[in-house]
Amino acid sequence: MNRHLLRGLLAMYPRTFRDRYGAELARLTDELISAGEITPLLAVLNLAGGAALEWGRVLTGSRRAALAVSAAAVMAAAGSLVVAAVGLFYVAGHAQPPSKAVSVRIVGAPAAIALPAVSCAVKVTPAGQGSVQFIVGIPASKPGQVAVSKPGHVAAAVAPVAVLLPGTLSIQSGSLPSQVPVSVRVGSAGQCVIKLSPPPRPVVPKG
Amino acid sequence: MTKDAMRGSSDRSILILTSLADEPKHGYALIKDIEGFAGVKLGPGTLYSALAKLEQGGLVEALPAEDRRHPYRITAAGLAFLRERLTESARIAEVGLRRIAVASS
Repeated sequence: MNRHLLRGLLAMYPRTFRDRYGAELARLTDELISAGEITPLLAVLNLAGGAALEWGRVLTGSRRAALAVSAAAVMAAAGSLVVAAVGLFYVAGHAQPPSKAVSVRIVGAPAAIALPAVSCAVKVTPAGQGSVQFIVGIPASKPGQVAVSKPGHVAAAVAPVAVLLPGTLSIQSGSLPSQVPVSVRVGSAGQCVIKLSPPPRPVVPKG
Repeated sequence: MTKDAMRGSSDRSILILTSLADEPKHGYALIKDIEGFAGVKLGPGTLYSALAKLEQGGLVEALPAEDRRHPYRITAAGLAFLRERLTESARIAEVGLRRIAVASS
């Protein structure tokens, strides 16, 4: 990332935060970009969102807190939307030209913690089968199953876990080859990570 | 930061504490570890906002810098907090599982 841009982004943070964490944050951002773990655009959005949240934290309690926190929340929300649109989802596995649309809908938990069940509906075109793994905030995770019976149909899977934020997210650029197993992981922050794995090899009887 | 204030802390904080539960880690290692066990990819700003909050709350502490970056270590208070939160989550999950089993039978 451009040094001036990075310096400018760090300058958006409150001074106390910048003095304590600025150098580490700059180095980590550089490392992540260099390693291809994050794009410069996402890094910019993430740092801007972080700065807004830090200011919100610093100003909480003052008379200007409401305005500042609101502004921070708007910035964070806007950043999150863009981040969600650009890169919250990623499709791993075999690179395919974007052709099919996949939408993942998380239904359930009105709060961040604990309802007995959360369902994740997966709409896949064309038909396929796969598994859904719901991650419970932390280490516990429970596998569920999803089967997509017809192209375009929605199959719901329910897992007995929670700690999820509700929301509806969709991927428009994902590619799903025909008949490929689909694994959907619902992360603690409400995002679904979709991973494609190669279709199982058909068993051909000898002779 | 009081215990009550931390109680509403985000899942990010829990992910970070979980990552630090076995050994100290610096920022990059934290991000990779959390991505590995939770499938959540934290951004640098998000990570350091959460780390700052945890450090302010006495749940993690920075170790002396290695190669110009600080590893972070979970404190005794952080371990106790994490244990409490995970136990609570496990209890809720158990209740949920039991109810679903009853409902499905």
